[in-house]
Amino acid sequence: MMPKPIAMDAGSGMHTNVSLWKDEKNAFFDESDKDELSQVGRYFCGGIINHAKALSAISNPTTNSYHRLIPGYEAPTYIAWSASNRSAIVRMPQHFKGTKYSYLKRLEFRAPDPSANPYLVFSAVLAAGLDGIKKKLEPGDQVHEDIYKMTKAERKKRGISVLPSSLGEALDELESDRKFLSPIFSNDVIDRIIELERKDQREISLRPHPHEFYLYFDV
Amino acid sequence: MPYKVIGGKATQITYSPDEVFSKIKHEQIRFIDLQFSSLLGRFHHTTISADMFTPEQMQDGLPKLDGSSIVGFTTIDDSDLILKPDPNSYAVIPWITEKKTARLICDVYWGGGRGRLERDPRSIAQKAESYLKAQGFDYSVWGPEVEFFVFDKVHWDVLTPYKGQSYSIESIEAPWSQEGTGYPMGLKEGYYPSTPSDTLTPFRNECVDMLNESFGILCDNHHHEVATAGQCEIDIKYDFLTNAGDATQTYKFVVRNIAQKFGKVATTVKLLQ
Repeated sequence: MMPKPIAMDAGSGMHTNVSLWKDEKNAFFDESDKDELSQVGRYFCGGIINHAKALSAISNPTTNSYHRLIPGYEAPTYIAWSASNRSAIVRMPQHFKGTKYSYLKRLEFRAPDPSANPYLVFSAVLAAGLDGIKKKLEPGDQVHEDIYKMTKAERKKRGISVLPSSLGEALDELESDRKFLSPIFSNDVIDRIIELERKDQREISLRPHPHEFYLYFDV
Repeated sequence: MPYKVIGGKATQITYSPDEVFSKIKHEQIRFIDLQFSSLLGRFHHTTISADMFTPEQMQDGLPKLDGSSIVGFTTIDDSDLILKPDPNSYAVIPWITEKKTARLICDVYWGGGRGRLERDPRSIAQKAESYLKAQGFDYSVWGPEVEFFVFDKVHWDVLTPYKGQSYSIESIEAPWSQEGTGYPMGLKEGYYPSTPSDTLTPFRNECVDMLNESFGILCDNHHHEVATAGQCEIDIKYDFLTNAGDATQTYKFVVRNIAQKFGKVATTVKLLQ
């Protein structure tokens, strides 16, 4: 499903909600935490935040994906997490609270879009999250302000980086950060994914865009 | 999946191979659609005659796949693959009204007893689930919120890039529509408008009915999304990892086919190969 067919309007996402379970209990729920998020949940989130750039090549695998990941259309662009902030890539929905609703405790990863292969997205997000748990990766402070309104200097100060702006960039990120996938994805599979996506990227880079005629015809 | 609401509660259903064969007989199924996904997620099928389908094939798989013709699978010099149906994925495809057809999602194996094809994305999902167990958890739960567009028509002219390229989108809902019979929806004004502005309520009702009734993928809510020109979302029930992958692939399969039944087209990415 093409993520961004219409210029200047919202694109289509595939927000991915996840929780881990053990002994019929939601491992992301902890009543004693202010946001009812357990330490396991925080580390899982830390894993996603840490590997977000490389994950893009799997959760946003087409050149069209990157037309969606721009500010101003409710799609996330900044690598940050927050309870309710829709400009961040990881959100913790909190419509309900308390033990009664502990089964609803989850992280919502907002980057993926429906051009992605769902089997690969869920597997890669799980690999990133489990890497976070294993290495105790903290996701950093939550960002409650609208990140779109921050200056670059402010973002830098708070350690907020941006998602790749093109498929090519995402593939470069995956090439340099792919080890976390290895318990689940074989090297051959990752190589093949990169090869196939690079092919699409080349197809697009070969062709001038119609809007370039508007911008540059009389340049 | 599949699930059934029993006494108001979503209950997971499983099918043994024997149960699948008795369903095939009882429901007078003529054809079986064997379904699987390519590495990057394109949904594929091959169809077999139900009369010829045997319990042995259910157990050992069917030697029916040339892996070199599926993007991302195998090279031409080592391309014999096996499709092994998963009985739990049995579902009657409801829009095929003549020659009743049921589908089975398959695991892909190498020929010659060489085990699972690692480039089968479903095998990666299954590996993810066993890795999670090795890490001390029981299971993970996934809830994808898939959005998509349904257009009346899409035209593209891309085959002669030297001469020029273009695309255009037609939708009765769009503010650029020249039909003169719609209630135009502005850019980013598509969130929850009532009918008749939202023209796709019957389409989504039909998709939800089929997902619930035929495929056992439970949907609790559907609505128009923020963008104009037919952006939709149907919420499906959260599920285990591989199941959620199966459900998402099935969701896209249903949406595209029902859009076509309504004389429309759901946005699918056309990979350039």
